[in-house]
This record gives sequence, structure tokens and C-alpha cells, in this order.
Amino acid sequence: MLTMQLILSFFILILYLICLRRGLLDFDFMGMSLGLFSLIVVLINSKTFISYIGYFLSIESSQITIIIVLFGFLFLISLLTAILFNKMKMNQIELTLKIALLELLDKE
Amino acid sequence: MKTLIFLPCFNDNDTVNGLVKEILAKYQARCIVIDDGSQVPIIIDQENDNVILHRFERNQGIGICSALALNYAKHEGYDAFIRIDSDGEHNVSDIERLMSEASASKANVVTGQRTNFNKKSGLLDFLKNIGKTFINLSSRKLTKIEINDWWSGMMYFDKKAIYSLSSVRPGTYPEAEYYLSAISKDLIISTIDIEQNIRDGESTMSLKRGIIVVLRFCIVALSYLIKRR
Repeated sequence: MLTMQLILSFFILILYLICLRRGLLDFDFMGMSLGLFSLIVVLINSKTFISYIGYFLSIESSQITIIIVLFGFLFLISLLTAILFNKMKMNQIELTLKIALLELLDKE
Repeated sequence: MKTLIFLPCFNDNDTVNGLVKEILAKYQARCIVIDDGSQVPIIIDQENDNVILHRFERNQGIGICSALALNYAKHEGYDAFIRIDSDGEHNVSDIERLMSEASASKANVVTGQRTNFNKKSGLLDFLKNIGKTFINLSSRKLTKIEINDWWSGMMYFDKKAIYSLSSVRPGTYPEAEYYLSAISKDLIISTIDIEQNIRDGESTMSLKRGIIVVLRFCIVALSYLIKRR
């Protein structure tokens, strides 16, 4: 159980950092929110947090596993959406710049 | 030396013509004026071969304007690129000092750091100064480079810097992003001290924008930490 939490936590953080480094995510608010979200996922996966959740909500360990997997899945979906939005935003900026540059060169 | 002087404009109709006239009288350079969707479109009185004007119908932010001017400089093979604010905040005579510093120090980027930019009163100015101090201190700690004013809009890029930084797509206030990118690309940065004139217009920096700029800076600083080689 603990190993799975650790693997998932590291996987999420490493995936997030890889996306940032390879430029798939920009350091805009979406990228930052996702970073925050990934930290929350890591926090939820932490042993202490899970034991508290399990204690207060009387959740069994098998249910906690499902919660962890669902959060991991949610993170992946958010990551893909953020990458897609970032690509769309960058494409729009590049297009604006290209058109403006062509207009400028046309004035020459 | 083929020099391009860039003046980003937003509602600066009253000052930009005087500045362009002064620049063209003093320097062998071309001016590029980018009107970032001013309410009243900027009109250049003496539009000729040495002045090029482009207007964005919608406000794009100074980051996009700077990227456009820089890409234009790269495309046209300029040796030097200088940015000066069009609201009369900077002295035209400081351009010569920027260029002299660049040739003396062999720097790729020279920034004019304002020596009097914190001397204001009022709650908003106090908060702005806290934000600026935070950014200046953390940038200095992060890069170990002695720049006291990371938001100075007066800057000089040589050919190498033009090529290296033309791919940067900065945000609303691009200065710190350009300087951090320059450092991460191993460009040499030098500074000169400049006196800031009292603006003719109001500052575009509101409290909300200030908070966004500080947050954006935190993101860029994180980016610098991760991407630096």
C-alpha cells in the first residue's frame, strides 16, 4: 500500500517536472495550478494524511486505494487538458506574431 | 552599426512624436513604434523610412509587442536593439550611454537601472515597492548577478542577444523574463544607472496587475531554476 502511494507520488511529480522542462506546459496560471494540484495529490497520498482520512471517514484501505487511483487519473486528465490548452495558447501567440511580422515586412 | 530603437506605445500620443523626433535627430538608427491597441490610434507625424509604425487593434500586452520588435530586428539583421519607453520616462541621451557601456564591457545585454524608481508616497506605491524589493532581492539571490532594477524598460541587446532572445514569449511585463532568459543562455549582462523622469501619463501598474506580476515572476523564477543548465 505504502509502496504504491510512493510510486504514484513520485510518478506525478516527475511527470509534472518533465512536462515543464520539455516545454509542454508553460509557467502560466494553468501550469502553476496543476503544480499545486500535483502537490495536493502527493499530500493525499502521504501516509499520515491517509491514516487521518481513514480514521475520520471510517474508510477501509481498499477504498483508499480506489481514491488514490482516481486522484491519479484526475491528475492525468488535468495534465493532458493543460498541455492542450497551452499548445492552443502558444499557437495563437505565434500566429499573431507571424501575421504582425508579415504586415511589418510588407511595409518595407 | 545597424540599430533599431523600439518604442512600445499605449495611449502615449502626447509624448511619442517628440521622442521619435529627438531620437532621429541624435542617432543613426531606425525607430519601430508598436501601438498596443491605444484608444486613440498613435499617429507618427514624420513617418518616413526611418520610422516604422505597427498597430495592434486589440491590446496584446507589452510582452507580445517586445517579441514582435525583437523578431523584426532578427529578421532584418540588426546589430543592436534598444527599447525605450514612449511615455517620456527615459532620457533619450541615455541611449548613447547604453551603447557605450555595451562596447566597453562587451556585454550582450545592457539594462538601465533606475536609481529613483522607489521614491514615491501613498499606499499603492508602498505596496509596489514591497513587490519590487521582493523581486529584486530574490532575483539577485537566484542569479547572483547585481541588478538592482529587474523591471527597467530601458534595455540594449546586441546581435547575439537578439538571436537568442527572439524565441522568448514573455508575459505582460517582460523585462525580468528577458533578463533571466539572458542569464540562463549565458549572455553577459551589464547595467548603467539612469534617472527616471516623472511620467506624463498614469502608470499602467494597478494593484491587481502588481499581484499578477509578482505571481508571474515566481513562476518565471521557478522556470529559470528548472531550465538552467
